[in-house]
Amino acid sequence: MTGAKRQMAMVMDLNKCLGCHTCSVACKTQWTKTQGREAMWWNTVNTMPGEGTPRGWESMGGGFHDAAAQPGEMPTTGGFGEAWEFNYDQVFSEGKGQEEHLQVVGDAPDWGPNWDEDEGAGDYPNSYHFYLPRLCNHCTHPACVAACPRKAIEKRESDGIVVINEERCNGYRFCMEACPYKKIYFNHAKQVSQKCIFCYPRLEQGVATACSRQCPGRVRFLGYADDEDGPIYKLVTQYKLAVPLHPEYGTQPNVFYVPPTGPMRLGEDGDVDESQPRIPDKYIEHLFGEAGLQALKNLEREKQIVQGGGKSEALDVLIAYKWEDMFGGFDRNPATIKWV
Amino acid sequence: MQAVYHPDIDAQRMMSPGSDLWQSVKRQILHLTGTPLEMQPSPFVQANWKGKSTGMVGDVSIAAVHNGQLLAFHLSWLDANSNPDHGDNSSFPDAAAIALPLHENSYLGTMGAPGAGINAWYWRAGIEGGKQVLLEGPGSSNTIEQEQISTASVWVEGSWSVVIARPMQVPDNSAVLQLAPGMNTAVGVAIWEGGRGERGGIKAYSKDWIELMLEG
Repeated sequence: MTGAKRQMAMVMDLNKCLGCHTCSVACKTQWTKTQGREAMWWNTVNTMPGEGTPRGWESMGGGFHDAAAQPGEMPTTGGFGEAWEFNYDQVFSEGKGQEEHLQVVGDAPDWGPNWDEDEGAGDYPNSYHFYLPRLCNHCTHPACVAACPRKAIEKRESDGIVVINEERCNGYRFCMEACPYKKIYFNHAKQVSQKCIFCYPRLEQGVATACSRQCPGRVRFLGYADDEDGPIYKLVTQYKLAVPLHPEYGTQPNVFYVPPTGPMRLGEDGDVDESQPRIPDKYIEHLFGEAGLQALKNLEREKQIVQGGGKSEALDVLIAYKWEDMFGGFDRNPATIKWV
Repeated sequence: MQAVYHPDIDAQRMMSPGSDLWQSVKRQILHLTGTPLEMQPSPFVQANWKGKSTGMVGDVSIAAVHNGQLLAFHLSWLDANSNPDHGDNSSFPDAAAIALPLHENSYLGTMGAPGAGINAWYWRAGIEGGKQVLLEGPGSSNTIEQEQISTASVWVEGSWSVVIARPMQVPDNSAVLQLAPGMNTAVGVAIWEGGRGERGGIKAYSKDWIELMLEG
């Protein structure tokens, strides 16, 4: 199914993500401002553990096994969260800013794309949470491509980016059932399915994806997976610090994560308890499989090297002293391009 | 079946699904059946629909009238719920299509084949107008144009009445069927029950062609 000569990929260091949503807003501003895309967030950031968006996506099925896309549930508009209407006019331009606060107009919503923000899990003083940014994984075995009866979804040969051909799409949404990450949306105005395009028009001009370029936390690394001088190869293949989310879904994502180490656990006496991590190993394993635990061990190994006075190329990559080094050559200033 | 020739009936009356015209003209009941799962072009669709019922609309009542210029088909079927849109993503718009063979050996059972295509006239609830589609096998449908098909529909008390019409002669195009009074051809019907998730190849259809005579 791969069909791609090269593969663009992304690594996100979850230890750096501060949950600011700049990535989501950058994506929204760039791609999903038009009618029919109001509730579309090709990039989302959710607090984990949590139900995320669409609500409960981790238990909705789909995936790719035995060379076939697997059955899954259809994500609903309510599950993703509708676009709320706010009383902007009242507060900002009708002179009622001192009397009315900014609020949702109409029925009170009961879910949204970031509903369970900062809830997390665990008990005081060892409660824990971390942020998980998600976008289309541009999988090596994309279940969406396999599910579409119209061959409307293509994995690009040149860079492995998975794109929906809106001329072919008839809005059947089999792709949305098959995608185990539930990162495909339906545009009710255009009646076609839409999703992250990995900013391929930017990449084709040497510019990093909007979510990567705008990230103030230097969370996102970008580049061809086989570029041995690039950050993806070093973090995923060479040092094995970054792993895919839910590898058991079988689609082989090309978005990878450095799992979160979390803060130290506190014992009953209030002192640091180093016998176990605050974020339970079981939860890391749930998200990233055994490779996630191994990635954390590898990260600890690199830290020990530095603490011992040594030098760690892996940590230097993660620290990202120069932002240009994070994007595998896709570091052109978008302001230098005349977009048509 | 026969498309009755009414030279004096105007398009407006033909495009009114509830008009007395369609009450008075001779109708035929077609029995529809679910498209076999083996015919679905995606193994995913086959797996996802295994064991589920498809082709929820069992019978459709069909009539046809032309006035020498415009040919209109009137379809009527029972549907407890009207589905005019995509709901919360879990349902689909109800839809219907008229199929006409482009070649003598165009096989309806496979939705045509390369070089032996089918000209389909498509209606979808909630959308004004319709479209013409070329079918050359499962999963192959290509929209040819979206200007020539006129549609009108009404859902009343658990029943859809839909008119799908097209000028008999249209600008030359090998992917559409040119029609004329006195001509003999064939017709097939497909109905999608959107409220039950039917879309694409998941539908009810008339397995075989019905002879269609355009009264001269």
